[in-house]
This record gives sequence, structure tokens and C-alpha cells, in this order.
Amino acid sequence: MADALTPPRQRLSKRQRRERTRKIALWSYVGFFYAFLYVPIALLIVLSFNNSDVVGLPLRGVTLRWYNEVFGSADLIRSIVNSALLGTVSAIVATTLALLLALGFRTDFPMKAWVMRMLLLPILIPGIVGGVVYLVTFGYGGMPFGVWTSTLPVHITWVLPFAFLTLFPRVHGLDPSLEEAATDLGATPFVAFRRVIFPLIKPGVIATAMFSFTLSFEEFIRTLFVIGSDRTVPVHLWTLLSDQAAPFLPAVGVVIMAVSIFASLIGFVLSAQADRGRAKVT
Amino acid sequence: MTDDNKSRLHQMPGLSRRQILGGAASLSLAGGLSLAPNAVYAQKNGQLEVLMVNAMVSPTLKAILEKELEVKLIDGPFMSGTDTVSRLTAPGGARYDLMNSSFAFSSPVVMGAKAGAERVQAIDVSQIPNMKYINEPSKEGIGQRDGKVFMIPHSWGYDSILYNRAVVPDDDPYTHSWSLLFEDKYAGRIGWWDVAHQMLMAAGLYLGHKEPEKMDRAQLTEVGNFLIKKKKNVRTFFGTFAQGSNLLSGGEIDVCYGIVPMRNDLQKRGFNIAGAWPKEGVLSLISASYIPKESRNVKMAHAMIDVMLGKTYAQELANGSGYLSASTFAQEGLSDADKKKYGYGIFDGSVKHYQLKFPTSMNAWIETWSRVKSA
Repeated sequence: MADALTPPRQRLSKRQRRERTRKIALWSYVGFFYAFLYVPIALLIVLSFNNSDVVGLPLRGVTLRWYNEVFGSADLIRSIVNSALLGTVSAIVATTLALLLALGFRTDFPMKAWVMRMLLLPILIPGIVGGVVYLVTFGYGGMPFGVWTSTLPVHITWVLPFAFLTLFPRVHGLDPSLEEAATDLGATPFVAFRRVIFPLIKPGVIATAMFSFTLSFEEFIRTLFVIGSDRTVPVHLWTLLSDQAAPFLPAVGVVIMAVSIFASLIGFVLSAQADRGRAKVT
Repeated sequence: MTDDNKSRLHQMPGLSRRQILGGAASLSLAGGLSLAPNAVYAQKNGQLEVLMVNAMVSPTLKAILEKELEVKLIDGPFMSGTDTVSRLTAPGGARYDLMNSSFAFSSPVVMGAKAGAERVQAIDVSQIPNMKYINEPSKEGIGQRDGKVFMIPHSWGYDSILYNRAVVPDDDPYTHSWSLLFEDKYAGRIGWWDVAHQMLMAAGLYLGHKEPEKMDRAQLTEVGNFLIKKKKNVRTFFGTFAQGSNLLSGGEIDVCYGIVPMRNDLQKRGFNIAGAWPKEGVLSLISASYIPKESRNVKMAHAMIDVMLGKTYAQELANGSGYLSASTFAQEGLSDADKKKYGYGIFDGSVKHYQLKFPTSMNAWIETWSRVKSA
């Protein structure tokens, strides 16, 4: 009787079965992909509140003491501030230089290929070799070591090729007729740049600045050689790791992540505004 | 677009190729040079820049130093003895007023091969009245040549085996030897520090070499083969002491190579961790101070060496960090139990130790360790 009431189960066609399998595989892949990306971050946040002297599981209650330790350490705060300021200035200078270079590289000039190679050289030099080179150069030059005297130039040099590589395709792919049209209509090159070119590449500039900030913020090995007695976050953390368990590390990680997210948010807001501006131009 | 406009576009100030590249170069120069206030390494009044083992300038000890010296102490990021001597010998000279590192490891570089080759300046011992309080064993860490003193000891550290007392009982005979770190009894519960010098020294001592730092290639091969054979007992290698401490305190491992501040930190946090006293000897090192030739505040550097041997600093160091002070003041305030716990037996001979000396062929050591790791 029951069998008579139950509608006959529809047999899936081969194509439908294949489609279903494909969907399951795709969703599984997406699930694993996001889990792989975000579970460690979520775990870091959870562990930063774990009331345990061991960095790891099991959870032993909720505490804010690791955050108290982080915010109670003047050295750690100073290193975070140093990294944030250094990252900001490096990003601004490197992005500006990269923009000027990208604009310059739109035209041909003698030794262009060689200049390009020289520009990208810092990427090819291993960090530790770069660190030694800077140490030797600044040493012979008698330059004082510190965040602003030696570390800033090193960070700019390190970040610049990446900034250029990020920005150059954007500038290179710009339709020259827009600029030419502006000039035809009487705009000076500066006005054409300010009113036409820059609004178009602004999202790229912001993305480059954010990328540069991140690269600078995380730089360790080159910094170590030239930082002198100052400290950035990576350098300070490394000294802490040298002789203690440092159970406050997840809290430090969360604070650093918060700084990065904050910087990204600013970037997204500016980028969105730039996109709206670009839409108006085009 | 007219030709005229095209040419105007590329000739206008601020956008011509030449000017763009010129502008980029100028900004580079500005970024690199103009932010440097002086090309000269200027002295800052009331500051003393030091590069020291982190524990020597912990917040409590730093406060003592700053109070007694009436100076602001700027401590550089200490990485290792190797890093410290590299900074001492860096082009342009050391950027610190006072430095310290392991005597046995650093003295060949600090003192140089012969008289006149010293990388540091002679210390005026008349400015260090507390030098008379250096205990007898620590005098081994005074670096002197032709009647001049170049290095003055202030503390001792030592490396041993740390173990979880809940798993490894104190009376286990294995705790009386480096065997605890190598042999099969605690297989799968052992952590090795991923450093050639210390690990090969420990294994060398355990295998009966009287002066492991002088092992030749054949002996190193023998030690390497032994470690490869025992590698099956190792759960993991660790690169930093933070990693080792977490593995031990989290129960991932129960036995590992460890240094004094690591044990001290774990015990302070309430973990049931102890350090073994191997009969072959703990691996000891004497930390010594030296004043680079480029020191800008020589008088204050002398004063700091003196304070580090003084009563307040020495006693706080002994109580707070786990390191042993080279000053006789340190033991005055310690009970016998504390002296035993901290390892002051090194000074009276009740704890056997062997100084971590620089190997005669470090390259061969690193090669051997690489073989162990890749086997």
C-alpha cells in the first residue's frame, strides 16, 4: 500500500548524475579551500583568549591576560608603532616612485631593458645576502642605524620592485587616447594626469600601496641587519622567541592582524571611492 | 590628436620621460639620504646602547641598571653569539657602547689572533671596583693579554636536558646522563634542538670524547652515525626555545635539549619541568662583557660592567633569570636548596660542567649535522 502511495523515484540521467557529482566536488573543494585559509586564523583568535600557558589546545577557559601582556609591554607597542609607521612611509614613497617609474617606462629610452632589470634586482637577491650588503654599505657610509635612517631606505628598496610590478601593467594598459583627448581639449600634461590618468589608475595605486605596506610590515631578515637598537614587530618577536615560551603570541598575532585589516579597510574604502570616481570619468 | 599636442604632451614639465625618471631618482635620494639626520654616528647624551643576552636586560634588571647608572639604556635585539660578534666586526664598526656574549665562543674573534688585533678596547679595571668580587671559576672568563683586560665575565648559563617530571621521575638513572636525550627509553617523546654546535657537543660528551670541540672528521662521522641511529627516538626538532617550551609544556614531548631561561620560564609558569644534571657535564658558557673600540660612552660602559658585578644586580639576576652570576654577591641571598636548584654547584664542583667551546672545524660540524637531519 505504502509502495503504491510513494511516487516512483525518478532515475537521474547520466548527465544529471555527472552534474551532481561535479557540484559536490566543487563545493567540497571550496569548503576545503576556505577551511585551509581561515581555520588557522580562527584558531589563532580562539587561542589568543585561551587561559593556558601553552600555545595550543585544549581550551582552558577565557582570558584577556595575553592582551593585557601585549598592551602592557611598552617595547611591544613601540615595535608595532614602528612597523606601522615604517610600513606607511615605505608604502607611500615606494608607490610614488613606482608610479613615476611606470609613467616613465611608457616611452622608449636607451638602456630601458637594463634599467628595468636593475629595478627588479632586489627581488632576486636573497634576503640574508641583501641584509649583509646593506650592513656593509651603510657601515662604510657611516650611516646611523635606526628605523628612519637605515631601515626605511632598505624597506623602500625592497618594496619598490613589487610596487612597480603591480602598478606597471595598470599604467601600461591605459588607453593613451584618453590622455591625448584631454590634451587635445587643452589640458596641460599635469592637468591631464591629475584629472584623467590618476583617477583611472587610482584603485591600482591604492592596491599597490596596501601591498607595499604589508611587505614592509612583515620584513624581517634585511631589517635585522640594519635596525640597530630599534625594533620592528618581526624583530622584536624573534628576540622574544629566543628564550621563552611566549604564550601571548596568538594575541600579538591578532593585534597585528587587526592593524592589517584596518589598513585594508582604509584601502577598500579609498579604492571604492576611486572606482566611483573612475566610473564618472569613463 | 595633432603632432603639436603630442609633442607638447611629452615636453611639459612634470611629465616628460627625462623629468619623470629624474623625479624618481630625486625621490629615491630623498628617501635614502635626506631622512638620515647625520651621516655621522652622533652621541646621544644620557644614553647607553648595549647588545646583550635578553635576560641580562630584562625589565627588572634594566630598571636596576638605569637607576644605578642614571642613564637610559637602549638594548639592541640580541639574536645569538654569532650575530653579536658579526656586529662587532661589521664594516663601519660596532654600533654599541657595550656588548656581551659567550666567552669561549666569542673570545677568538673579540681578542683577535695576536696582540694589537683585538677588536675591542682595553678595559680600565681601576674603574671596576666590583671586579674583586668575581668568583674563582668565573675568572676563566676574563679575557686578558699582555696585562691588559679586554673581556670581563658577569654571568653563567648552561644547557642541559629538560624533562617532564610527570613522565620522567627524578630518580630515573637516565636523568643522570645525556642518555636521556638519545636512548630508547623515552622514544617518541624526545625533542632535539636544531643546532649543530650544541647537539654535537652533547652527543660527543655522551660518547666519551674528552674535548668534543676538537673532534676530527672520523670522530664527527662516528657521532653523526650515532645520532642518525637514534633519530628514530625523536618526535620533533625545534628551531626556537619558544617552540621547544611549547612542545614540552603542551605535552607533545617529555624530554628535550634546553637552556637555563627556558627551564626557569616554564617553572615560573607552574609547569612540572626539571633540568637533568648529566654526569658527563652540563654544557656551560660564561657570558663576558667587552667595550667596542667605537663605543661613544666608554666611562658609562665601564660603570655598567661594574654594576653588573654589584650586589643588587647580581642578586636579582640569580633570583629572577636562572642564570648564575659571576659575582660572589649572588649566592649571599640564596638558600642551599636554591643554590642547588639554580646550578651553583658548578662553582663548587658538585655539578660537572663542560664549556661550550668553539669547534676547531665548524664547517665539518655543520656538515655532520646536515647529514643527521637529512638521513
